Amino acid sequence: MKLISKIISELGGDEAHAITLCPKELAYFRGVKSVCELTEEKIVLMCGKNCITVEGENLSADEYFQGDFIVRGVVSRVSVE
Amino acid sequence: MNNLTKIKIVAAPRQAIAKLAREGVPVYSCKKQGAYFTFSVPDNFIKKVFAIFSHPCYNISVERKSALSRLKKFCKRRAFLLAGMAVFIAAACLSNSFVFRVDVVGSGAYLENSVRGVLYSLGVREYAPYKGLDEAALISRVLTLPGVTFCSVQKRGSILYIDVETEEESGVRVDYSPLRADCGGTVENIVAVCGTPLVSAGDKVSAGDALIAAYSAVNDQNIPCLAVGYATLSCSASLSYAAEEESDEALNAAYAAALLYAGEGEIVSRNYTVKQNSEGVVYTVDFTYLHTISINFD
Repeated sequence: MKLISKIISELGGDEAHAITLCPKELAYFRGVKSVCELTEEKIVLMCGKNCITVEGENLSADEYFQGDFIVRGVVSRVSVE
Repeated sequence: MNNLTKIKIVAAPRQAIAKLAREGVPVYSCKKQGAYFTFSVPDNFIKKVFAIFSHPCYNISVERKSALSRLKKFCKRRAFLLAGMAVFIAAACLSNSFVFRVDVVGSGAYLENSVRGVLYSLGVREYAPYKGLDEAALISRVLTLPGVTFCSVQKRGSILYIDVETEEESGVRVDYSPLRADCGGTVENIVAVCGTPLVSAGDKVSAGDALIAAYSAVNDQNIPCLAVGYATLSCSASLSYAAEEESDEALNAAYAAALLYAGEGEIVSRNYTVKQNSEGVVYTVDFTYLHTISINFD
């Protein structure tokens, strides 16, 4: 994790709103403010001004606490608007 | 074993999650199942969750309690059973540090009294705490018992098993009877390793006379023990041998018959007489031989 943090920092990114994706397994989001939609095919999250859409199969919110959100399932697409 | 309780509620996931997040409740395994929204929360947040969704429009219920709380409930309901089990385990552990029975097993089980004697002398007794055993000393002393070829010790639970094996193939068995003369003669020598010699060298004995008694005299008391030892008797015998005519071959055959009669005994003196009859001659060999008999002694 230290390496990832360092890379994000070097690239000038914001670690507090980082997205970690394990294709077909899970996705990890930080700084989630609210959940707009929660179905097995689609999960929509609000992270500040960004709207993140997670698409896939058998999706479920595995954990949500203090802005940390873990989506488990076959994640096939993540888009940020 | 987790401490997450699964909760089922009739509410929109978005609304429910927003409410829970606002109150700082960690939620896990969120799923929409038809009209229901299921999620898991730690046990210590259950009351808070019910308070959040206290409005009657939320149909909230616990779908499955956490493994930890189920275990607690199980233990509470069966407290006496668990206490009994704990007492039993404690008793079993405690009894392991005692010796309640000594079992002498194997083909040498008939030596139980002697083996127990050795065991007691090493400080191990029944119904007493077991503080370890000098196995090497026990085995070496048991191996000195008559006929013992193998010994091993094993403590299983509160029982001490001593496996004693004796020499089965040679048919060696301890004989608890005294040593008796099997033929008449004169005692040449007698050696009693254990037991009491009843005759001495030079004594004349008859067949069936006791030579070594199976007891030892200690302080004017006869204490039963094994008779162990041997005696050499000088026995006399006479043997007739018929032949067609008098010859050296016939004489040698007569002597050979005497040797056969004496068996393992050593012939110390011999002489012969020849008598003529209608069918030939008859050799009569008179001889004296040393005959050794023993009891519990190889």
